[in-house]
Amino acid sequence: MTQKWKIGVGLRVPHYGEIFSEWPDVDFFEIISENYLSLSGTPKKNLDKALSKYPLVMHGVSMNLGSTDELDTRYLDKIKKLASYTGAPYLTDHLCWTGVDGVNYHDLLPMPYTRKNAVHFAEKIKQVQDYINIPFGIENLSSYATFSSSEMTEWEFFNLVVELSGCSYMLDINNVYVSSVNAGFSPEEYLKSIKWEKVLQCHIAGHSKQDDGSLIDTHDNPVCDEVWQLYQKAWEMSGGFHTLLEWDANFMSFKDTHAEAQKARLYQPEVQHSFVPDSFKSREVLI
Amino acid sequence: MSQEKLHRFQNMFGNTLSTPFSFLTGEATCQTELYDEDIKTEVQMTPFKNAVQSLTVYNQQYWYRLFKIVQDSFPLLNKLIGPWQLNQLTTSYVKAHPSSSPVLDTLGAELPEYIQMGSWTEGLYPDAAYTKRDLKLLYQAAELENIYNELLYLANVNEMSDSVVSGNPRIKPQVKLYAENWPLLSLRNELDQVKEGIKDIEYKQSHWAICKQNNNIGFYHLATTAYKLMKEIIRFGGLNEGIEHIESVLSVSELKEAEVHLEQWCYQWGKRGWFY
Repeated sequence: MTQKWKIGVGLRVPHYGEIFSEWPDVDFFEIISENYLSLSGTPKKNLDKALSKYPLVMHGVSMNLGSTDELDTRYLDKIKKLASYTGAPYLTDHLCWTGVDGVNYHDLLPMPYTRKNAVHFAEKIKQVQDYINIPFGIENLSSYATFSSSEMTEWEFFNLVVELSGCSYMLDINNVYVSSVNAGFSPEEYLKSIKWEKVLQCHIAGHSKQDDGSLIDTHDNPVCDEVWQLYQKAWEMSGGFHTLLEWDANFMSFKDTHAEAQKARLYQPEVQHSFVPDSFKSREVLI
Repeated sequence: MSQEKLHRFQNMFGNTLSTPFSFLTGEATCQTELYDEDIKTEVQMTPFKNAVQSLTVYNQQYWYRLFKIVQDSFPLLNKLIGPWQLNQLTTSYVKAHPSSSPVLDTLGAELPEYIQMGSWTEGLYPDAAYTKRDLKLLYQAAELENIYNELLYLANVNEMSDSVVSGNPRIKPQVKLYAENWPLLSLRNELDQVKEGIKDIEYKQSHWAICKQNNNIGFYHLATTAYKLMKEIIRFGGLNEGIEHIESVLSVSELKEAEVHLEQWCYQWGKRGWFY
């Protein structure tokens, strides 16, 4: 029986050989948009191979939505072309800033959770949505710092940005867990606040524990039990969502990576919900 | 938080996370004393870390990410001078050329020229005492690796069943010319056998055309005269224009060589699919 809610894996170079020779039965892949922005040469050849067999969704790391810099329109042009080329049903990026005054720090950076900053984010997201013209989801970060000028919790900020911009969530359950441990808040309370009908997709991943007990989002380990338990709670609250495993370092075979993603089925109890998600149409594309 | 305050916050945070490591103790260490004082006040204590420790996470992530991308993009350079020296070079280079691109892979685009300038060698730990010859060798190694990096995004050059030299052909932009004074290309192709150190690499000049064929990098040795002619064809935008200007760059003997071999070279280049 075809499953309604799909399970995908992040498409990464070390897995190309295995994927493009064995063509495993994978529901969908997620690409890091920046890796294919040029739409040329070897990256395009590999993108074409993936597109010949699999649905793709796009996940970006450089939209720099939280920055006081203007949106980079040349970058957005390329994203739009790539979205059109791949036929991705939706596009996601992060609730963060990545640079300022034209300098790119190539990291997903946090900022104080204030109403003004939420409005700032929402305005940028609206511009992106108007321009890109496919559903857009914003992803919560793994955070290693909290700020004294914050006026609200991370989840209140996240929800406010989604509400003000009209965009969707790209909910990273591992990030919820990592931030909850690092900042000392309840991850369940975070999940309870999510408007599940607006969730495009959920990420799961592994992280690393530091000597002091804090966590770093490394995507180089299996998903830990605590994150799977949280995933199950999210599933019970929501009634279902598409799931994507991110694995970015310390690679194992694609077969094993895919098997790790498939573990998600063990934490998907059958739950009946009456609501019809707002974003169901865009999510349906994968189904 | 107003836009002005947010901008100030992002400047403080950005300056702090990009604070260079100190290499002076023989270990790469965060210089937390240089972190912005205001951002230290803004960052709160968490269950595990104080403000400085939290900022250190971002400081380390920033530099380790950049070190890795440069090591991966310049594997020969990494072998020749070792990661310790390369990380110091990267630190100096990134401070002089901070990334403005959303794509991290292009970070090292200006690294060859920066290497040649030599200012990065001041304060290296331990003092590497690179000579002018060493800097030129490292420049050529970095230039070669940038050709590799560039070719990743370029199309294959398809061999032709017969040579195409009609009209006034141009050299395809995906054919890259490379001149070296040391056998760096062969070292790049045998990375596993390269040992750290550049003093013992013997002088050996050669010229190459490098392009991608069937998704593999192909290398074609060029006679010096052929290399100069190709360079002029690329510079002036066509075979005829290249030939017109060739006299100013060739010696008398090279001119004679060009006259003898021109037809054969053009036939070969056309057959390899280098013309369009």
